[in-house]
Amino acid sequence: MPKIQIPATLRPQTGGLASVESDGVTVGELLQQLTLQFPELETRLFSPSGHVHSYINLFIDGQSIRDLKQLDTPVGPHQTLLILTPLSGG
Amino acid sequence: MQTNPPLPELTEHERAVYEWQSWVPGFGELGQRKLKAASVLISRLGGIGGLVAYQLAAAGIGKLVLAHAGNVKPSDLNRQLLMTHDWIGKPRIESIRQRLSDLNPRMEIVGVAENLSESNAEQLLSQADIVVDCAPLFAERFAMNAAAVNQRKPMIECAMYELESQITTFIPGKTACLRCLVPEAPPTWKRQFPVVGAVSGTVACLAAMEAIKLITGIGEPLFNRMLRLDLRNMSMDQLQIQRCVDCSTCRHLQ
Repeated sequence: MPKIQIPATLRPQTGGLASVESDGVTVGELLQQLTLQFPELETRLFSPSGHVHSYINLFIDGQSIRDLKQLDTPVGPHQTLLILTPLSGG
Repeated sequence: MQTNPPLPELTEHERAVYEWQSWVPGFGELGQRKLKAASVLISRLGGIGGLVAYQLAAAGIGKLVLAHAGNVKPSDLNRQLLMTHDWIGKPRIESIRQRLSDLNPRMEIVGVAENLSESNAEQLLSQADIVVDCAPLFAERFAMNAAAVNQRKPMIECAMYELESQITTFIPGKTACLRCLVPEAPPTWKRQFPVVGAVSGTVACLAAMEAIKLITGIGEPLFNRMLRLDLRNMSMDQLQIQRCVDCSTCRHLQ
């Protein structure tokens, strides 16, 4: 099954899990499964209109899905979806 | 045609101080002279920016332009290594200036006791060749990004949270800019967040190395690549990033 790498900013919504296995063959399906499993992630990932927030960047094996097929990007069973949220200094 | 001024010569004392790094292949005395001629703006000298400044001071940078408002607080001291216990309640910028001068008294320091904003970003950046973005608020980061794009100056972008950090280097018109990746500020971001000082120190040293590479021409900076580190399990991801054709800040650049 594909893996989803959860950044530290979103781990409060996954009960502290840093990596989650998820069923699905596209990025969109993986995210759908993820939010079903962890409903508190819904608003952290998606806008009220159902789009992924513009400041969330998604990568399959290091490549941005913007350069692939966005949420329709296929995901193989041994691939990893990485969720990148913006951070800052301090 | 505009020509660059000649690089400054090194003194015998400087040759002695920087001897070890001058042995690095491709660096040499020429690299040291390039560092001596260079200037870097760092916005906020906290957990990341303070260590970037300290490493660049140690490496022999010619000039630092430093922007940081406020007084030293106890909660600064787990990571802001240019702040000291005896300076609690006093201006951060003076502690910063003192610590850096102790390490490198030859370096020119332009210290400004205010944070970077839309109103001062252009003026501050006009005094430097490169900018390192270490600010905690996205308004500051966006202001710096806009100024860097406008003046076509490289911006090293570094950030942290908990035990994670991210770093990349933006070259206006050639790589993504901050707005390409973050078109709007995340509304859930808070000014204060969990982080260990060694995490900010790690990404700070990487940022200083990016600046040194940009200035001296050695190595391969993180162009169109973001390095993401999770020090909880010591994993590292290299992420390919591209310009956004609709970017509100840099789409006009060729």
